Amino acid sequence: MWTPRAFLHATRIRRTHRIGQAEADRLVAGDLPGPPHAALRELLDAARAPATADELSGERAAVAAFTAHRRRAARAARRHRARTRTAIVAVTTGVAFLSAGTAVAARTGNLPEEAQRHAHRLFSALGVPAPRTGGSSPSTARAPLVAALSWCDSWQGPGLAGRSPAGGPGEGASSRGPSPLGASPQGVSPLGASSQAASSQAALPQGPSPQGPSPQGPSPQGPSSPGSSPLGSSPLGASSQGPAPRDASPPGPSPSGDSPLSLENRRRLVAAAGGENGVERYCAALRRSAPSAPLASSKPGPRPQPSGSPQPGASQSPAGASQSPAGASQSPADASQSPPGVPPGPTGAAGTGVPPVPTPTSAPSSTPPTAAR
Amino acid sequence: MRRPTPDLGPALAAARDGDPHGFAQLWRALQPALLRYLRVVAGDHAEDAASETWLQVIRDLDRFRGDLGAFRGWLFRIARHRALDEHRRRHATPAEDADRTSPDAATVAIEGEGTDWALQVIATLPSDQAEAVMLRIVAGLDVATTAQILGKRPGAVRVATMHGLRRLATHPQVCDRTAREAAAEV
Repeated sequence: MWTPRAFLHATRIRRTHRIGQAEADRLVAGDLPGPPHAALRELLDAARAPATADELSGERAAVAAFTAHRRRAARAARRHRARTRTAIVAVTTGVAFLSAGTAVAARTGNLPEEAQRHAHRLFSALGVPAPRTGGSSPSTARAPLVAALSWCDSWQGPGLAGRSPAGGPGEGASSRGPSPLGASPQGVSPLGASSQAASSQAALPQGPSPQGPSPQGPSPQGPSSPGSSPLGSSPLGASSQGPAPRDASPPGPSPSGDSPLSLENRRRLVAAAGGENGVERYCAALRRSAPSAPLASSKPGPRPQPSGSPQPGASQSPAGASQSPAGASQSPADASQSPPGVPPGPTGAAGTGVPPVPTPTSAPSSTPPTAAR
Repeated sequence: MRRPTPDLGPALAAARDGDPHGFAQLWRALQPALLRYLRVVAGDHAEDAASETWLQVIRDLDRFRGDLGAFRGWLFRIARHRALDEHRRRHATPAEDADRTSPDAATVAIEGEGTDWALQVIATLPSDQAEAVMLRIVAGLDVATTAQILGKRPGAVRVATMHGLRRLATHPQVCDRTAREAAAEV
């Protein structure tokens, strides 16, 4: 049986043994615990008592370790700084040498092509040259011009012969005869066989045709030279077929194997000139604007009249040529024998403005490939 | 009553700059609490663990950034890790219980008057409560720093501290001491 006093005592004892959160926080903060916890207070005071001599006995060793470590660290830092400095100097020197070498290479144009082009684009003001292209670049750039000039030559070559029969009575087919003959001084030639010889002579200078490479000298093949080959295209059937067996050259447009002016090129030329009527003017303008070098290089064979001025004279030959009475005189060679300086005849195919069809006799027929080269 | 701690901020700055005097001042102020904490946590290997702790502090002090409170937390975190490493190295798994056995009454009677007695009594607590009591009361760390060191939440640290104090208050040796003191007074 519990008496009230015993009960109170029991509860008091039980209550004093419990430490709540607030009291724990006060104890941690250093507050003195109540009388029931005097022993706990002593315990905590003993736990956080001042340091004893034994606990501080290692101070000297600790400070010595600290000093030694700092000394080593200072030495290591100095070494690290020295290594860093050395590395920076080495890298800087390397970069400087590399840059200088690259600059020298760029200045002398010895960089790879792409790099040199890039350097030229960036530093052209400093004198960095463009990449070398082996000299092919200028010729490549001039290639279209040279090709156009060669087309002009091919155009005007047949054009002469094409116009020459225009003055003749109805022998327009002879327009496929060799054109440049009229430009040659030997353009005036007798009719017939002699005219063929003359025509061959006149045709020779037209270009590097294998049959007649020499410009003025007699062709080894004589009348069978390409200059006379257009005989096959003579409007007169018998006479036109005459030279063909002699020359053993086909009556087609390309006896020498060189197409004078292909249809494609012709179309391009006409398109560039804005029409067939403007071809002459276009070519003349082209010759005026073009430097002489590409044209000369494009025409290895000597040309009697590289410019267009004598050509009209040649093309104005029809009177003599087309009116040659003999059948043999129907050859285009005869037509080409027309004297220079004769005004262009407006009649015939040329008069109609129809551009002459390139004929094999037109020595410039070999010009386009040559010029293209 | 807690002893007022000297202002160690300048000493910490000086030690960070390589001044041995600043480091000595730091060491004198913090070494007792560190060693007592390690005695509770690591037992007999407290001295070794304390040496390794200070060596690591010396190694990394130039990279330390923070005030004195952060430095104290950093120091006791290192000490705890070194104590655990030392304990793993020297003892097998069941050794912890052997270390935490309460000292016999004779030993307590002999050493009862001093700090060692108090540490031995605290060491009888469960490890989380013992560490919480040591870090909060002996080392004087706040709840947040103690929680970071122990890897617990601040509330858990407060509860562990409270439970540890309750246990200490009802500890037989503490009660006997109270009774002896009362008899002595009579």
